Amino acid sequence: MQKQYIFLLFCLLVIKVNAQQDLGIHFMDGVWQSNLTNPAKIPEHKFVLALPGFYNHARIDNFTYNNVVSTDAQGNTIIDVDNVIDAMGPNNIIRNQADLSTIALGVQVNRVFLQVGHSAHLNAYFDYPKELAQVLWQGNAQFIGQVIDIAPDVVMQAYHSFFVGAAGEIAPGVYVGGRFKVLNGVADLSTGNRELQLLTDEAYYQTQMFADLTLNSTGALNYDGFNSSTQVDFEQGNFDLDQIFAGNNGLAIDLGVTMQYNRLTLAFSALDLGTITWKEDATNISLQGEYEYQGLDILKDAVLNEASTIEIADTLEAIYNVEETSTSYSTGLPAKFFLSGTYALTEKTSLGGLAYIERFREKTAATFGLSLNAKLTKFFSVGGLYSFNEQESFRLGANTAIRLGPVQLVAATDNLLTAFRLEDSNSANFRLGLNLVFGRKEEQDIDSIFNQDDFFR
Amino acid sequence: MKLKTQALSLLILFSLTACINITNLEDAKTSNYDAEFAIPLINSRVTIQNFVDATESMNELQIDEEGNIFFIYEGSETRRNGQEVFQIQADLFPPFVELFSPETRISFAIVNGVLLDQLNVKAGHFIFSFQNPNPEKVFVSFEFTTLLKDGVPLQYKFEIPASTGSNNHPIFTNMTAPADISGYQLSPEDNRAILRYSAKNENGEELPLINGYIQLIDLGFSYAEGYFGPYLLEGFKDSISIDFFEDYSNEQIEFADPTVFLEVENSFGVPTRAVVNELKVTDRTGQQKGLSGSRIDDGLYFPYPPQTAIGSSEKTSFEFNKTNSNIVDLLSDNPSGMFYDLDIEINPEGDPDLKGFITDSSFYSLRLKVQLPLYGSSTNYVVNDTLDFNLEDIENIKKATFKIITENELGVDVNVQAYFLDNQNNILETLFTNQTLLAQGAIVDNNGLTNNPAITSNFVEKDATQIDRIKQASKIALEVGFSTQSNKPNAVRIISTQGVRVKIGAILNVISG
Repeated sequence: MQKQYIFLLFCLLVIKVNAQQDLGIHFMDGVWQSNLTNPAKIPEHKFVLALPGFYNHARIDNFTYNNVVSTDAQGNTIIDVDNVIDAMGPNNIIRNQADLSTIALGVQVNRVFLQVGHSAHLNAYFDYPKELAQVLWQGNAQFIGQVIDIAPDVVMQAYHSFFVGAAGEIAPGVYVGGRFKVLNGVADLSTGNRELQLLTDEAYYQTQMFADLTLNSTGALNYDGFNSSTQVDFEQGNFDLDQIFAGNNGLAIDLGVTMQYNRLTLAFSALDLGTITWKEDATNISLQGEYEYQGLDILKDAVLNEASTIEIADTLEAIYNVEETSTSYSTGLPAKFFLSGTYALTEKTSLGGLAYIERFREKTAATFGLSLNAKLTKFFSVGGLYSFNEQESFRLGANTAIRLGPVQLVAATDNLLTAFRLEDSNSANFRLGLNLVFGRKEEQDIDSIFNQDDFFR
Repeated sequence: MKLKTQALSLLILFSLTACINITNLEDAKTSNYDAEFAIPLINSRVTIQNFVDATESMNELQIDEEGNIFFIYEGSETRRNGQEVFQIQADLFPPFVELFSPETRISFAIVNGVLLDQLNVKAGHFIFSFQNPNPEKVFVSFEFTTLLKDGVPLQYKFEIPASTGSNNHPIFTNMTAPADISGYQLSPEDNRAILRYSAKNENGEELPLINGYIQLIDLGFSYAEGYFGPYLLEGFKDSISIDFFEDYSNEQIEFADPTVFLEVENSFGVPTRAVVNELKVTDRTGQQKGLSGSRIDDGLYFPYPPQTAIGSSEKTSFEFNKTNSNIVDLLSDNPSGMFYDLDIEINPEGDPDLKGFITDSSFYSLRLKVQLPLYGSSTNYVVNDTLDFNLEDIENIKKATFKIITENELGVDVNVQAYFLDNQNNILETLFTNQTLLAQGAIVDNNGLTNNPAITSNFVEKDATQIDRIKQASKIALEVGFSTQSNKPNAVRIISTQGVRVKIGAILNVISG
């Protein structure tokens, strides 16, 4: 049945986007990629050319691969949908964010660090109530007489980001930085208003729907009513260069500050504060009002022996008056907030703490972490991270930066266990970066706090 | 150029997780699907008017202004016209009348005491002939005294030459040019026509004529006036088939107010009444019961047009109802038909002073009509029907529970059973365990009308085994019983605006194929 395929696709999506979140990189001081988490963090080289790098973060709430997949007596792999549903919470989020940094340049000019660059972003977000999955897979009979909320919140969008930024010391030990981003949307499929309630009446199971639901689309949906030709045409990762200058523009800013006092450094940053306005070929599919499907009115035709060709789709379309408009709309980016503190244990080791908050689609998610980072040599640093959030209470991450001449390789993950127990993981992330760095700042500049005689006073 | 970031991300992730045995989920099967969907199937109202509209023989159904519905069964018209009744045509007169004397009176061939005062001739020719046996010329004056036109009798004056011998008497006749007497009026005296002639010689002396005769050829009348009867016309017969009970089985149905009409149209200007030999109802067993009561006892006298309205007709309908007959008893006993055998008695009182008229277009027309209003009671009026049935395409249904709600505006209980049959009419499955009250009748008031619908709910549950049997069925035999048990002992009236709303929902247990 079609519904089975939908659910299968749904489960496959969940598994294939398995990755994690970008916390460890925040503590990799002096590395260009750390600047991405706080524009006030200045790299340790005066000239940085960031080559293509990749970051992916994926998260699924409430169930894991092992909840989904089992093996039957014949050894067949079975996607146990009922088991998945049992594991679901009242609300469930599936999230995938992929960033591709194509190229970026950072240059220290006097006491100001300047940067410019481009990146491409894919953002997928699916927030759905458990009842939606229950209705689709198990049917609505279990909810007879109950009003259930089945509205999903969907975001699937791709956009380009062109940015310029600057950072500098505005007072002794106080650095501020900012990035200004010009955004250009490629494709979007997202819900606007999202109220959709379903009531299966006790009388004879007539269905009532209370709807204020809008599905906005730019280049991602071919809508043709209730016909089979309606389909989503959103392929993540497809960026055509001719789409770079599409008419879907937006602006965003990143702001950051760091304050250093003796061994303690405090940092705060707010990232991706902005929106994209989608105009080009914008389509809005909306369903508003109260609808009731009471069954077919066929007895009169039957009595009169008149041929009655009844297409259920036509009947539903007549009842559920779907309106299609072409009005531009705006979507906000996932706003990220980092609040951290770092304490330098030695010249080469530091202990950090972090509160990460993300605000998106009117929901706030927080993750907390502790890190231990060490610069083992001038060319090699490593770090470890423990983090937890509402979904996962124990995650260990690792990160490293290796420099061979001017070539610097950066890799980080916040959920190292994913690599070993992917079946039981709710989230995964990974960052990989490659930089060409030149003009390392004087060590005494970098490590001056440890050379000062009164540092430990 | 396209940047396949997702492909890259998957590549990296799968590289990192290479040590993990993640099964290729594209080859995985989904777990068995076992869902229960509750869906509304039907919400539809059907009215009696819809059924009326669907009735092929609309002449059997009538609806009055108040929406009352009647089943009407009409018989054929039994018609007798004036000429047939009185035989007042060419044979009214003898075809050949000899005139033996100067005055001849011709009696009409009319029986039963009919005494005609006037006959209007619409067609016919008159021929006469005389021979003069006298040896001198005669001057003849001949008139048809009672055959007048504008008050003047038909007259002839002619001469007949003298006879020259016994074998050669001169003849005068109009045989070669008969007189057209259409438009003349025959005014008989004492039911006799009078002809007179006078033959005189030049001296005015009366002389006899011989071999005088007249002929009336192709005679036809358009009007007759006088005293008719008493006279009995026999053989008014007809029968009606009442198929309302054709599919009838079990128990009884009683119409509270059935009516039989004997519709009469009469353009004879004479008093008439019907003599009922037989007016009976036949039941399904072939037994016959006669209609009786005050209506018949009072006599069925036909109204007739007055002298001033010659050519018009009078209509009446003799109504046999529950107040003047035993019709309720007759029609409550599974009737299959009704028939009558009537005679018509003209001038039944035999009053000679009561004059009337007939015309050549006068007629008696009789028609029997049975009217069954949908107003009554029934203990279980059952209708059976068999329909083609096919549910072969239904798949993956493990269990189905149907909830059937009826909102019945009629005061009639509807009991239903359905049998799912194979090609050999073997019962594979039944819809209900027993015949089930699907729609309880709404409560009626003193007029037999309902005010609020009655709501009835039923559940039908079928498991996989039963559904499999139903899928094998090729026919469904419906047995629908109608009764007024809920309103007993009140009679129930059914009107066209009443209807039944049927709501059907189902909980379908759908499983993987």
